[in-house]
Amino acid sequence: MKPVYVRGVGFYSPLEPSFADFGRPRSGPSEPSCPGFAQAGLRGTSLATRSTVHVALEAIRQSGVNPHTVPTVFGSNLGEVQTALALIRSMEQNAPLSPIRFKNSVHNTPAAIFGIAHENRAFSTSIGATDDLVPMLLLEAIAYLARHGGDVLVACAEEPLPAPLSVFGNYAPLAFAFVLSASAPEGASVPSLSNLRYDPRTVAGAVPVEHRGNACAAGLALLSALAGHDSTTVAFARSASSRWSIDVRA
Amino acid sequence: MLAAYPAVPITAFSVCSALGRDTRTTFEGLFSEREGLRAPAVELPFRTLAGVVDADLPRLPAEFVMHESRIARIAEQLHSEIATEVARAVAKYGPERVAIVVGTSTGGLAETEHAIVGHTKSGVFPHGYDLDRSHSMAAAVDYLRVRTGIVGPAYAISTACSSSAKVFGCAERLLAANVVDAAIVGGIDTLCQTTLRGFHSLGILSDEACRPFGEGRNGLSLGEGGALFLLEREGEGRANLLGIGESADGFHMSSPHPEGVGAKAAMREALERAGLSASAIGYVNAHGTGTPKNDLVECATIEAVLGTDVPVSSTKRATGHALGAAGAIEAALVIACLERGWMPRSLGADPVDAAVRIHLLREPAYAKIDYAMSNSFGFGGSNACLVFGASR
Repeated sequence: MKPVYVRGVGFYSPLEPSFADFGRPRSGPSEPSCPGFAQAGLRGTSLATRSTVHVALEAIRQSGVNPHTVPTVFGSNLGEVQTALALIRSMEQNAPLSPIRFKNSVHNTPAAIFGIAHENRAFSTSIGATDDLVPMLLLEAIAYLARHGGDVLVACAEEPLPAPLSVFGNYAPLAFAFVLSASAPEGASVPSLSNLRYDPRTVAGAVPVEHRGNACAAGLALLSALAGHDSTTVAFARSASSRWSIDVRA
Repeated sequence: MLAAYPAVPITAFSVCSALGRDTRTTFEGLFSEREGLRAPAVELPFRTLAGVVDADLPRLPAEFVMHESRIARIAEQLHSEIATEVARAVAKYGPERVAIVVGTSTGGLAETEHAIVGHTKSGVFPHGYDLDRSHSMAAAVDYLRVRTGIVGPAYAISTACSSSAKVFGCAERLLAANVVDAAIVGGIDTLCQTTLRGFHSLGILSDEACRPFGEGRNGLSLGEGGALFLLEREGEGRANLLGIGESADGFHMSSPHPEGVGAKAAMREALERAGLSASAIGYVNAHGTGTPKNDLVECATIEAVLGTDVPVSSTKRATGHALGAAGAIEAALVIACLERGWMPRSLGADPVDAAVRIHLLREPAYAKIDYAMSNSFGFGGSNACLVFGASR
């Protein structure tokens, strides 16, 4: 497949301040912000959805692409897990379910919230994967670009697991987004991604303890390479069994 | 006019539904006009009927028992029917050149419902429960991956009720981009309390067997099951995937665009990618859920894109609405219709809503069908439309 070009990046973590300051610790917690986004559209949404919208808007702003027409690929492993648990708790008490909460429990809630706000009728999809969430998200976007050209917004997020599910992973929220293009923008030098591949010899790196178990954490090495303007090969690591990598050219 | 895609042969498939645990019994149920809806075996504070897979599902082989769940058992059932063809494709192309893409709306949510109840009672999760393997949207994908030894791209699509129609688009793109030479695609969903009570909370769950396009219809009946398809770059298919259209409404979380703007775009794209004119379509399997609003918007959409002559029916009263698996189950039913030269009537539609102006099938009909269309529309305004061609 041909290289794709990274025209915009969005990043959210309560532990790090921004993509521009990637890797530096944040002094205090923060909530995702969605400036310019109709707040009514975010009513009743989860941290997963709000952080996805946050990073999507950031990447869109940086890239200059039109949010009303850009095709979108969203992804998460566990998606609206906090909403799902809240619904189960309601059922345990034999209480009627909140219709708004139920509507917002589907995996494609972030895609829908973003699309409705921008009346975006273009191609949109939402994927799920466990260890390989990030490479599969990129693959879906890259295959779309190879077929149709143009630009694609790619965004993923994972919210913390609520108790008692947190015994399966106690990680911080994390979200990031890219605007990828099939061709290099004229007059601008932007990084490219190429050769996304499965290779059984790939050795996955370590994941910071605060992100361990978070499917989105497999993208941290890629974010680090992009922030550091590195030309390198990045392995996507969520667990020791991850075997996907991609070449980054600054 | 969009460029047409090359046809993709569907060399094997399997289906499991409320009509029957396997492909043969599901098709027998379809052809004999059986209705698969009955009272679900869960305690609910209201009345409803659902399409339940009530036959025993196969146990997982001992070496994969850590993946135990109802979705994994449905995956095992589906895989067992196409295992020979899948093994042939893996041997022919290599395990890294075969993809697995499975649509689902709920993933393993039913397992988590049971696990939370168990945890509340005992303070510990049931033995074997694991968030990735039991709950994740990709739980069935991961099971199929270890079951088949495939190491190529593997992920779930979860766009509510369009999920397992959109997987055909994933396969088409992965093949076109030369990432893989074959793909197992499909959809699997299981009934759970959250969806039964959730659709009831929205006031769109029927208290009787659903009556898509019928006068006075009062909502949908949920279902469960799945279907898997093997798509290959080359080979003789039982049918061909010819076109796919995907769009969004960008309108509302749970209501379709009143003019069906996104749905029309998906149907037109599917036709153009198939390189067909509207008059070539011989049968449409409608999304047809039985909710008052959705059915009428779909009628207007079909009328605008295909006219009022093409035979249309919904099979939701036979299978229930299997949400993220609906697109795949209905794709299998469409292929059965292409092979048999037969179209099902729209069960439960009589008396038909007076506002329905399309050619809704009130009786089953025999006819040579060359091309058929299947619609899937989901929450968030996610639309997918598939066009299949007979293999002859």
